[in-house]
Amino acid sequence: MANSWSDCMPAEARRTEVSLAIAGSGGTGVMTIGELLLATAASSGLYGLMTRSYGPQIRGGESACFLRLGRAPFDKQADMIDLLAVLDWHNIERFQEELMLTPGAWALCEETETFPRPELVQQAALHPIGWKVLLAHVEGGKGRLSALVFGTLCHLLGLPRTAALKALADRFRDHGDAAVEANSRVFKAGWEWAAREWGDAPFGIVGTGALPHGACPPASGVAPSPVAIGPLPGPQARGQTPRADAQKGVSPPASPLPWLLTGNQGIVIGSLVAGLDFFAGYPITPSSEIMEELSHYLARREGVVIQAEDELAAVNMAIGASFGGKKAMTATSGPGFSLMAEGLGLALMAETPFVVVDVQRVGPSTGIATKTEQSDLWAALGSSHGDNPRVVLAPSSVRGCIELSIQAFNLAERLKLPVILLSDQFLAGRTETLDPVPLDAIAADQRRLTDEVSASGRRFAAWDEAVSPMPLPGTPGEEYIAESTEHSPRGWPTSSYQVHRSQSMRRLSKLEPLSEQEGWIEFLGDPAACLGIMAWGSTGGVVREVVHVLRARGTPVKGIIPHLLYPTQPKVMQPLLENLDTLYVVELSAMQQFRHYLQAFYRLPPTVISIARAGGMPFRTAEVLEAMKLGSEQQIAHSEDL
Amino acid sequence: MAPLQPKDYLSEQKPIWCPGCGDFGVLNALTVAFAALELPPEKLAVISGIGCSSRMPGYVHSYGFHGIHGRALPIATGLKLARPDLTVIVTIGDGDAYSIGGNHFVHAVRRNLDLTCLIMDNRIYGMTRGQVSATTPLGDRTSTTPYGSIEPPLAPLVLALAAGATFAARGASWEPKRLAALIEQGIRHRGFSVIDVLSPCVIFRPEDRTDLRDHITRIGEEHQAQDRFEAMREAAADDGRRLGIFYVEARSTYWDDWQATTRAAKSQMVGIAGLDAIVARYVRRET
Repeated sequence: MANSWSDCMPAEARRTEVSLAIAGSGGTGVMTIGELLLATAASSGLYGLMTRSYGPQIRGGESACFLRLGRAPFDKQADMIDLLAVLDWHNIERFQEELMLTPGAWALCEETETFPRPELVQQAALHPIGWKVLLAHVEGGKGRLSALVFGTLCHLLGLPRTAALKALADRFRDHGDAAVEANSRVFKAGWEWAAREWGDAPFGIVGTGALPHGACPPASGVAPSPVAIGPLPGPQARGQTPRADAQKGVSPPASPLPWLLTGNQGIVIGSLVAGLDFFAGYPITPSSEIMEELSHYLARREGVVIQAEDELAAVNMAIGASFGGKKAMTATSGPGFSLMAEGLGLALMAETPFVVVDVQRVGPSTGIATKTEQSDLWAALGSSHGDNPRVVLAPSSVRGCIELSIQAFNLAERLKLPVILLSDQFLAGRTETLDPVPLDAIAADQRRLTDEVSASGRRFAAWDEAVSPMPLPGTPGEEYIAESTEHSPRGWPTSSYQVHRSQSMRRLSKLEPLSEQEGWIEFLGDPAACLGIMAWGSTGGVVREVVHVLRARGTPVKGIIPHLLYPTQPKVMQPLLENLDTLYVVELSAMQQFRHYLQAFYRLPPTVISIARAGGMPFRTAEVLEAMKLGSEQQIAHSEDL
Repeated sequence: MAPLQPKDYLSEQKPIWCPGCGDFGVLNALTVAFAALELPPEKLAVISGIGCSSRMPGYVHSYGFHGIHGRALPIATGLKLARPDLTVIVTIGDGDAYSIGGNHFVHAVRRNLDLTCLIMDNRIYGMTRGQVSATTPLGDRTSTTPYGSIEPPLAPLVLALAAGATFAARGASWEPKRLAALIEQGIRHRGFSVIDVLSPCVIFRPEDRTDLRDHITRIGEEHQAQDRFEAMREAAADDGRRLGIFYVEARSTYWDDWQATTRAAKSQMVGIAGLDAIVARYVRRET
């Protein structure tokens, strides 16, 4: 039952994390059970991460959720599953690719259900349970399978009963007291049955219920990924900050109440902190949650959310609102991002700030709407014709989604240009426990208006730091036309090549201070290592684990995760690459978009090895380690004492 | 301070339009309407797409946005939602409104934001040198239909009414006084005003200067513009050369309805404290 490299001792004695999967038909309560477990774990001093898997049809059909619970924060899913709960066997083979079980893993299922035993559970110890009979014996038990399974799992995992009952009550509070009571009765039936059958918490995690969050150092060293980012412009502390130190700098005070957030919700929170006033969007998986959540909250702050007729409209509505003085955003995924290309170009030319979130999914074209990939990198860097200086940010954790959303608005407003926030389905759709983020730690910048200095006749002229004030419509004497045509400093259309040349250079020069600013590249591991591993976005999670594993077995290694992809940062990046002999580049892009990008913009070590494949499934730690030919997960697990 | 005159609404930019272009008459009518309404230039925003007519914002002394082809209405929608205090005028051509931006036209009309949309319809793509447009009459030869156009022209006002327009009218560039009065009515109308303006292209449809002028008809005094069915009847009979107000309806705007439906939600959440409420919901400490 040993889950991974971090656990080579008998499970009962040394288990610091556990992974489980719940699978069943749509509507059986798969996600409810997962969310309840996560909430219970989070209020019991554990960290957790839950991913959801749906078929391509998004709603209906089969579904599964995958949880990883433990004493350290996680920013990737578990490689293998220790405990599987099968609510029904219908179509479970569709999860064959994702359900890798540890040898000797347990699989719970309904005992009365006859089924052809799928290949994927052949290795597992099968535990048929009379769930249906149990439900029939509990008053009001009918239709409450999820509470029963939740009770069974809570006991197996050693989660505190009171915390579990509280999570259950919170979940069903809106359904009325009777529903809460019935669910509690069913929960207890599941719990007690498991207690009789298996005794004391065979999947219990050391210290559950005893460790407040943040009170002890993460057991595995896999901490969340704060990005220490200072104000712009202005130099920051010299040198790259190792992760542990960066952690100290921004770590919130210990709190027993962690946050449970998806990456999409992180972007919602970050954008609200940044002062978002206006959101326009068009529904598309996996970004729709952002619009749905904001449609509740923005109205409460005198803001506006509008569902546009298409992404062409959404992006231009955001641009129009920004012209009117509001902080504006739109969010989409690949197919919508393609449509937004022309709007990006307009905002770059008219120097109108806004933020566009691209929650990447498998492409090209419709691709797979519910699965992750990192193949919009080139689109983010280059979409829209012409020479187009833009800012591209890429969070690599849920916490990063919050922090980089705030930074995205600050950069957009300061530089008067669109900022692309590149998230992905793996970040967007997973729920992660994280220590509370101090929401006032990153100040929200306000747009430079013309209160102190007039921009009359100089809206598109060179200013200090090449950043111009932006008149607010309604201000007398500052009237100007935002121009999509090449224009003079005053904003008049022109076909002069000299004006085009000088205006192009001015627009490009806006990015210079940012390209030299430190704090955007996460660096972890050994500064003097000859071996390096680099990734961006959600794949940063696997890099953090790989670095941890290799260092624990005595291999010096350096991990690099850039969070600012454009402008590129040669002056900051190059020193990090100096003493490397070999650099592994890990990405979910069959075309190796990131590796090509790195080779185009940076001077890389003599040996660059790409670990790249098409998306659909995030990387497993063992997969990357095998690709590095440095040993599999199992070998390392046996050579470790963690 | 003396009231602003129409000329005070002209910028220092010199129009690039060809001599005799209908768009001069529209600019003239616009400035007359602005002066009549005593609109302060700083409270005015003129939004356009791409094409000859979309050069309009540059020639008006006001805030403005010379956007991209077809997207003027979304830009204006975003601006008006952000700044309901501004008077927002959309000046676009038949390509912008009825072709590349056709979808935006339908939905902007449907939403009924308080915008005034002038479509300078020259029945041709002028800036790109004379290609067939969505309103080019059937059979006409253009640079891309040398054997004659085989696509029936769109009926813009039928489309506007079908989409739920609350103000639908047609004017002509060669009668700026009447046009100014029409624009003034459109701006006064609370809601989305569709004003199709016949604005002949002297280069690529020189015949329109006389053909249109000689064949226009006017909606009679007896027309019940508040009657939707009457308006539909007029629009159905329209050959693209009928002038006047087809339809007017007093209806709440998108902004009115947005405010009404979100009133209860407002002031529930201010500043960081309000954000804590969101976080609380996410972590299920509260419901």
